[in-house]
Amino acid sequence: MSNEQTPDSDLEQQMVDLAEVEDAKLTADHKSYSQNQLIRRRFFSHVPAMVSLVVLSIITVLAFTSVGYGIIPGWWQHPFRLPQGAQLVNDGQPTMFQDGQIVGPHPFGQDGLPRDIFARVMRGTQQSLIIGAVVALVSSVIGILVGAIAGYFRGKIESVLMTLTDFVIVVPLLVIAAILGSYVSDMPFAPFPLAIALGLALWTGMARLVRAEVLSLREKEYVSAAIAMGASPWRIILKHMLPNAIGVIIVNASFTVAAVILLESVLSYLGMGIQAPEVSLGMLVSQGESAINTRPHLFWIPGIFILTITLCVNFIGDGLRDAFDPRQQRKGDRRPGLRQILGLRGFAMSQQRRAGTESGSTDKDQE
Amino acid sequence: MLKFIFKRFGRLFLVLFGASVVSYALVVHSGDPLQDLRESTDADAEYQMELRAQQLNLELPWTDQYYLPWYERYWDWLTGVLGCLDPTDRVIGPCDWGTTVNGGDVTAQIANAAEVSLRLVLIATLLAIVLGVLTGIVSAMRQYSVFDYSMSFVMFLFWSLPLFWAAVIAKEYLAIRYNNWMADPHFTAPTIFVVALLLAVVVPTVLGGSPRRRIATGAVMFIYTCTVMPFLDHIHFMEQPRLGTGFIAVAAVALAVGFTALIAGMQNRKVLYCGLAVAALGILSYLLTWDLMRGAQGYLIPMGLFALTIVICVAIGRIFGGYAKGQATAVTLLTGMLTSGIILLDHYMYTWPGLLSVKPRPIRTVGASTPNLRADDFWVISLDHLSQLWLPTLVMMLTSLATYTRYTRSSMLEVVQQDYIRTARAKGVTERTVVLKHAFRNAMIPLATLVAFDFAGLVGGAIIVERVFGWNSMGTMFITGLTNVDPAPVMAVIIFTGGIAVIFNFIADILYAVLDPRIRV
Repeated sequence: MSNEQTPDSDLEQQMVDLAEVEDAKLTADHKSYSQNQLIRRRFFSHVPAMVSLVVLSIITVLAFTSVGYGIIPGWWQHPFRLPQGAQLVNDGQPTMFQDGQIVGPHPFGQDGLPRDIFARVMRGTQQSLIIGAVVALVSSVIGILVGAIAGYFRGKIESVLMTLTDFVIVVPLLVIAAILGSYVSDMPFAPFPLAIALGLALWTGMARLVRAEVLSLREKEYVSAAIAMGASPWRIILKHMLPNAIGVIIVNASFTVAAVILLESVLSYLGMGIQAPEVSLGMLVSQGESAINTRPHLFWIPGIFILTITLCVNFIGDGLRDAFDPRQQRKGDRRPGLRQILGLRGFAMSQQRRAGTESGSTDKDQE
Repeated sequence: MLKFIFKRFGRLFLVLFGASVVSYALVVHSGDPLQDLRESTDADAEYQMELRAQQLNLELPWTDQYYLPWYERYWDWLTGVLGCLDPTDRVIGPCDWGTTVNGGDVTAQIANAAEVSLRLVLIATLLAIVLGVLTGIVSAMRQYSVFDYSMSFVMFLFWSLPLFWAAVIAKEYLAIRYNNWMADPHFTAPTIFVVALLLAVVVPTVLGGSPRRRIATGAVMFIYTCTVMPFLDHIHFMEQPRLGTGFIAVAAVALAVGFTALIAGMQNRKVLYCGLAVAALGILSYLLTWDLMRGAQGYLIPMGLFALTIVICVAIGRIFGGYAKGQATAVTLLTGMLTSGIILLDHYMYTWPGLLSVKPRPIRTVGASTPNLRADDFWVISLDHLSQLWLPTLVMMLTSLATYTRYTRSSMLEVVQQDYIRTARAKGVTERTVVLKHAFRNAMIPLATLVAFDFAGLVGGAIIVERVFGWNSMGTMFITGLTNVDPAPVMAVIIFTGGIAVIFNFIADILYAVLDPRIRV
């Protein structure tokens, strides 16, 4: 303790300086943020989610502008159905990056008829995205309604509604979806009836989560205050509970989108989802399956699109969960940069730090 | 507690009953079962319609003018199914799951399909739990390492994978191309190099350590692979694989030592000696039971020997474990079971040339077993089943593997931050005990519920995978039944999967209460 020799006034001066420096540091570092800003910042700093968001946006824009939607025409010259007088180019093989051309007339190749695979894959992607969005919307609305009612009113209503959600434990989702899908297979406006049918089957997960959230929110003081002020149950649910449960809802809805896209592709693969002449990615895979050796692109490209879309949606969901639920982030153990991960920089330092703070893996390594 | 469990069990059965009513109504109304015959120009169509109406139990008994309403058909079906709970066949009636459109007996079909599907789903679940939990623990222990990041990405990939697509890829590359390669199985130099390089990168990231140690591990792995693979090629390992007594002996001792180090620590001599005794017994029994095992005519002898192994292992652990009885039993049991597994593997390897001689392309892409296999040896038939089973199991495993890994990782990371972990470390408990006893046990409690939920999902996955691999089981029954508007097979699948889910939930609830005393209400 060298400070003991210094005179009191000096020490005081030092302390004041230190405090000022600390204050300056605090004000420089810790700008205050609102809850929403914090969530947004956490989400935007989640690298996989951001990359996925960009990729998914590109795919969405490409799918909807290239072949067009409804009466709006797209910029791609080939239709997804068989046009009159179609020519087989390059024996149906993909023309992408062939003979010095970047895209070529049929970048993803053609099938045996010959139809343009790029247009078909884009159309299938449209269907998948629409189904994902519509199902997430429908199932979320039903699930929130059921969950909130069951959680808020309790009693008989709750036991009846929660028994309904047990259906999903007992009957596999694919079975429910296939049975409901067989009802809507002949209806017009292709993906929408199927999407609504799937939404009617998929709300149970959301209902469980919202109910659990509402049950815990019921005990909060602000809810008691609202009840004391004479607010109606609906006002409490809509104004006080749902905004506080929004994190759970958004995260679960985003995972539902990915699950539904997979479910739809499975149904279409089995021939129980979207029916010809409409196109879906699962149907394209089942059509391309037999040609896996002669025309592998017919099988691989739609499958890779399904995988990419679901992967992106899942990563976005993961980023949203990290953003909404900061408990998931570890305290004191910061995410290291790329070079530290590869062991190129500060490896010994990080080992020391980890050994000092939590003695995590280092002890085990030395054993 | 028991009351709570039975209440829940009863409720799930009620749900199953409700689900059966709703799905019966839905399936019956999903289309016209006589559609194709109505459009048929066949002169015989009318007779066929009558026949089909009879098989579907469509007609009223006293007139053929009107069709039976669906609830009466449901009632007839329900009394038939409930008869299965009645062993005397007198009170309710005989066990009857109905007939299909084509007159097939659903009772026999579902019994056969259930066995095949259950085998597939159970093995896939078990493997997924073991692999997923192990990967999850290593990921959590090395948070933010290369291994953690790459495993997280791979698991996300598996999670987003369309199952049918993966199944077709597996069929093409792991079955058809593998069969082509098996015609003349030789490793080429580039293959050896690529495999060696891959192992040289992967193994050090799993084992971890300082950069110097990682480089050393990688180099050793590279040299090892570059010598072993040509050697295996030279001794025609792919056609005549054997482990041999030497390998089994080394593996058994390594297992005993490894489990001792993991569970009790090497300083605990009692446990170590128990483990080594079991390993020695294992090697001895491998030599002694060889003829007995080769002469096996069914699963009775291998299963009986396995049960005997478990009894002996528990006895050794209990008797000689002394104060460390529990740990010793765990070590002996794990060593004994895994050594038995290795011995079984050796027996299958011994059978491999026999299988190749009757089935030159060892993995068929269609069916759960090879029809007309010209072999009457139990081992060949069993190995044939295994070779048909392993690809569907692999594909099924992928999605649930992702679930278990992600769950274990996040659960372990959460538990490691708890106060009692810090307390354990502060009082100087070794890292092994902290991870295995304090963290792992508590992190694994909710796994019981997860397994119950995952199982229901896997049965759905089985429908797809069985379809792709052309197994004649539940998937086929369900899909053809639904397209033919034929309620009996569809309902059989629903009741079977639902019953399994209810039973698994029941087991999960009980396990949960045993593992976590706090929830006993």
